[in-house]
Amino acid sequence: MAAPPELIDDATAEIFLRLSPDDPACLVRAAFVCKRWRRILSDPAFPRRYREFHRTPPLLGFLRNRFDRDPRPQFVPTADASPFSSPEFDCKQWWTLDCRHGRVLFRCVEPDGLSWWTRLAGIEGYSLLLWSRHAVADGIEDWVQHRVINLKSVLPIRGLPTIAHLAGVTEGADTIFMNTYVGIFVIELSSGQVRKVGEREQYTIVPYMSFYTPGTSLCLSLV
Amino acid sequence: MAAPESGDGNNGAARMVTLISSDNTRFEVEAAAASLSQTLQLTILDGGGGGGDGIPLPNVDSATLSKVLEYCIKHAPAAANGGAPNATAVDRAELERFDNEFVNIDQSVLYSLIMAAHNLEIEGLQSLVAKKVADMIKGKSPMEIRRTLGFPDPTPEEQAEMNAHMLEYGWAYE
Repeated sequence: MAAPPELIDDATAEIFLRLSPDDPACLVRAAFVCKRWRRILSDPAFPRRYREFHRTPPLLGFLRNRFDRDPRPQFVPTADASPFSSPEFDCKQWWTLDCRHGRVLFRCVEPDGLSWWTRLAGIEGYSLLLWSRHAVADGIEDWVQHRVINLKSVLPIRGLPTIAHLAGVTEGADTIFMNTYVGIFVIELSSGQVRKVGEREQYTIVPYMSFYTPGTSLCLSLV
Repeated sequence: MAAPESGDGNNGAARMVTLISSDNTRFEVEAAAASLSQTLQLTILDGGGGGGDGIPLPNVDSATLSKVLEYCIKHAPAAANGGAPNATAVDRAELERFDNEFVNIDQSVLYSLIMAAHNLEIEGLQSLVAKKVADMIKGKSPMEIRRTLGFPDPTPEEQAEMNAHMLEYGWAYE
């Protein structure tokens, strides 16, 4: 028993393509409707089409390192209904380094100093400075400061004697993670929206962006 | 039915073609509108569908074909302008209003349209109807989706499977 018989797989997939990546639960629920839908959604061709159709993956959460409490990296969901409720990392002494294209990069020892995002954004007093690549002359590109955000006006840190730490930037640099004494905040640059996603972290956190289609799991690699 | 023999349709009166539905109803429509279908486009460019010939569409019934052609006729002018980059805001708003109303239809008609748009490869219509069904699915539980789309009641076996999944992914049913 399946969908009304006249709807072929390809046309059904066209419908699934239009379910928003920001609400990954939709695809999961669709996979439970019937066997045929589940088969279409778990076909390797579907995630590929879905990525091509939507291009920019949504922010699903972030990974944090907490060597003082638990040596294993932890995934903290920020999406309303995250598909990764509690991924099991059966590894110890891994340091989360980076996330690209839904894959997370870990390292066995502490990273040394600068990470890639420090070149895109930085902190000066209470201002968040953002740079982007621009052509400055024929064929020459350079980093140009294009935006300054006053953190006191966007984060609830007034009157606190502390600075806010830049904790992470997503691929495409549209979302900035700030680590402060009052918690971790996500600033969406395009909308200016700010929301608290967790308590203060002592160590690095890494934003995790990925499309979620049924059958997806965190992809891990180790350096 | 006096359609000109020449293929380019640029000689004054718009060139007409005839489409024949599965139940043998003939539809005469401007070649430009019918050409929104990638499937028909080549045949029409080759000069087909004119005169008494007509292009048979064995997979599309007359009720569905008339609905499809309603869409094509409305969208043909914008498509002729290459997606209408110069269209005014009023024109675009009017097309949007038409689209919204167009898919405000019974689920069974919607399904026939999806299949017709797919077979005839009418990109805009495919996208419009797929988006409509996606909106109908959004935020619903698997059982609600089945009801909304007119699936038969699940067999005991299917129900047991859904329950098992429900335990595993409780959040997906919230």
